[in-house]
Amino acid sequence: MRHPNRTSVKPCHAAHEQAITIMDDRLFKQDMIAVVPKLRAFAISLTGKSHQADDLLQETLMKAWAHRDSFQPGTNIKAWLYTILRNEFYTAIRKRKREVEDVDGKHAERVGVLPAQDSYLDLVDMQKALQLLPPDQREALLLVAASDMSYEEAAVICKVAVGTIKSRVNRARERLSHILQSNSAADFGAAPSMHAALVAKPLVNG
Amino acid sequence: MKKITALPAAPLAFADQKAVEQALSQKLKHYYDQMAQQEVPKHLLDLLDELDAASKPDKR
Repeated sequence: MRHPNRTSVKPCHAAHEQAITIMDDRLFKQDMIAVVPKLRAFAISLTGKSHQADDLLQETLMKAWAHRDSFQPGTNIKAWLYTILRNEFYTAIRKRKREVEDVDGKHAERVGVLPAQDSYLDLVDMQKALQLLPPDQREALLLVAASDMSYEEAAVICKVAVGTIKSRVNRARERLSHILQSNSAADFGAAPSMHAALVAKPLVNG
Repeated sequence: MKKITALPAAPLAFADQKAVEQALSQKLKHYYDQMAQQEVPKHLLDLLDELDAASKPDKR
């Protein structure tokens, strides 16, 4: 990995090369640190559990660091890290399929400690609702609607066509509306008729 | 006597649907921002320092 500002430097001896490497690593680390809070939000939203999210984030950071030479300077480090985290997430899902699931949510963790009770409940509702979405829809919605990624970036991260991402985002929005509206129409400021209409809408599978 | 059943709800008007989508997006964004504002556990930030330190003495 070479930082864009350093690519023009031509090292003439080993010490110079090493100094550039140390500088590259420092810049790379700074870039990673800047992304970590949003990356952690993505991890929490995907897993629904903060301890799993932190494990996932730790694996992601270690893998990213180990493969930092494969990162192309000047490209989107945020998308690169999200891709690694997503891959780790699906690897973890496959591993956990053999484990006993927390069906009744007895061990499910809270999303965090927040000062305002109403706000906290909103977040818990959203957290629970997100977990009811299929993982492919959840990640598409989080990338596009929450992480400010373009459809194109999300498509690259999820390794699918742009049209597939659009479709998944639309289905996720529809399903999430249904789930949340079932709980509280007032939260959206929706009229009762709108609430009824949303609740009456059939769920779209897939 | 014929049993009275609820009529199926009418589909949302386009404008209503847009309003719901917008509200949903705002709510999702708020949720996500709250998650991103949470303090990152120190051990995760320390990890990067450790990895950086471990790679410095000619380990690459």
